[in-house]
Amino acid sequence: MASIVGGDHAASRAGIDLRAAMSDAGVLADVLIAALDDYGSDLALVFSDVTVEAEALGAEVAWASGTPPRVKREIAPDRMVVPDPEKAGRMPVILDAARRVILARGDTVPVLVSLKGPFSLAALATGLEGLLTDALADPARAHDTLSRAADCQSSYARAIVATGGIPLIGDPFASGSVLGPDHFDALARPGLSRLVEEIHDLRSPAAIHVCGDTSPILASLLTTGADLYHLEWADLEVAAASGAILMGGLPTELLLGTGEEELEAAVAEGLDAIPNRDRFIFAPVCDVPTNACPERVRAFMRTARRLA
Amino acid sequence: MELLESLSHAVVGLCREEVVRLAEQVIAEGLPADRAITEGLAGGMRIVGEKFTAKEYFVPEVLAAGRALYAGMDVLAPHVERVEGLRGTVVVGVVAGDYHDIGKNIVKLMLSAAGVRVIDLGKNVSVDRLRAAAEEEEADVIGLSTLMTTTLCTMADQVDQLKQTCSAGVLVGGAPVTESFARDIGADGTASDAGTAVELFLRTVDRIRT
Repeated sequence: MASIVGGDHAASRAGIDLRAAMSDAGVLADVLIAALDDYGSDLALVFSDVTVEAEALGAEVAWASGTPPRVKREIAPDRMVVPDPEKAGRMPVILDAARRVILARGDTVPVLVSLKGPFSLAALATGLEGLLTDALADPARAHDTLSRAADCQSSYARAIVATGGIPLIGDPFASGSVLGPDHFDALARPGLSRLVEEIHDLRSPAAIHVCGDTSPILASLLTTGADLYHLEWADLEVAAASGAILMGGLPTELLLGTGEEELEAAVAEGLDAIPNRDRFIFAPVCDVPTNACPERVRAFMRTARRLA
Repeated sequence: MELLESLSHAVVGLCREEVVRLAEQVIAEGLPADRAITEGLAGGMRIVGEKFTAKEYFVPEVLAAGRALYAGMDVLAPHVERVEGLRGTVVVGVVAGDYHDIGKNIVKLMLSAAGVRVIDLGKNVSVDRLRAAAEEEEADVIGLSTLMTTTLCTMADQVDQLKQTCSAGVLVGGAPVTESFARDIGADGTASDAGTAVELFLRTVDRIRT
């Protein structure tokens, strides 16, 4: 069982300003460890927000009270150059937080550390609409942007593995809700496959998270060779046939609800749908929303453990 | 009319240059530009929406169809007095704290093609701006979008405030928004994709006006 808590919910439940938590490795590690201990998750996640790498590349980020930061102004694709992960933006915050969480809890639970997939980094740093427009009108330019993004993430993945964490490649825009199979194959899969291969070369497992409906791209996604897939909507039978470990099962919006019976029914339904429990981590399909009630997350973990 | 059908097919085929060529032919032959927009361009965009719903087309294809549609509009629009606003006025925006607007842009495109007047407030929009725009533009419906689960709570707050102070209908959408969530927060509805969103907007406009 896993609770999939990022820095936003961890800070919110601790009553700490999100920006303070997401900009300071010590605070981020403390709130993540506190949430991990409170919810009793069987794995830890070091994740602040989706803008870390885009900001490190020079994109302007906006902070608003009570919500995670968002990219406010993108950069030109040719400004994407490989940053030093130990110096650029908040990358050092994430890496140091990872070291702290691993030191504190790494002997009892695996620690996943989030980084963006190249397609999503390119979309966040340079703008999704521009990237897709380039893919249609100027494919060479789109591929150059994606290649630059893959170079950046290759460097960041190496730094994550060096902390002892397991890279969790989050690719929210490389979703079947956005891309069809042809565009996924052309734009997203090559970067994901490259990252997984490079992480494996470093003798580390690699995990992938994709948001939204993965059914149109699932067959292709499963060829990336990741060891764990955390998927939002997917045919679990098909995904399980890949032999990889799967994670998910509970629709995240249920963590915002209040009905006990509704939660119990959803957990039971999610558990029933698991094709192979030996290789499945039951968890919310995406990270816990910022303002989800902590008692609701506890109730989910309690109910899941009882019914499983 | 065969030419209008070809125009529609060119939009569905994502052929921007062909759309422009056919639109110019419409004008050269003295055919009605308003029909070329509603039956040709918008007719093609409706089919694109159906293909999007059926997962035959995805976001890149919808964007390409949109580029083709707007290129055709550039040719045809100067030859008609007014094509928008015939089927209602809606205000759209991305919730406060969220800067992801591609879903909102696609819905805006589909609504415009359907003859709806769309006031686009962009990203990271406050309740005050939504309310003021809805009042000023006499909007029938407000459409709120978010991509992230992290801003679902903000969406709930904004819908709650709008429903208390605004007479327009409020529709919500975005990847993490489900029908049960929309119902729980008091919205007038949600749609799973841009194609069905247009039908929902039009139904809601009709309901609000009656």
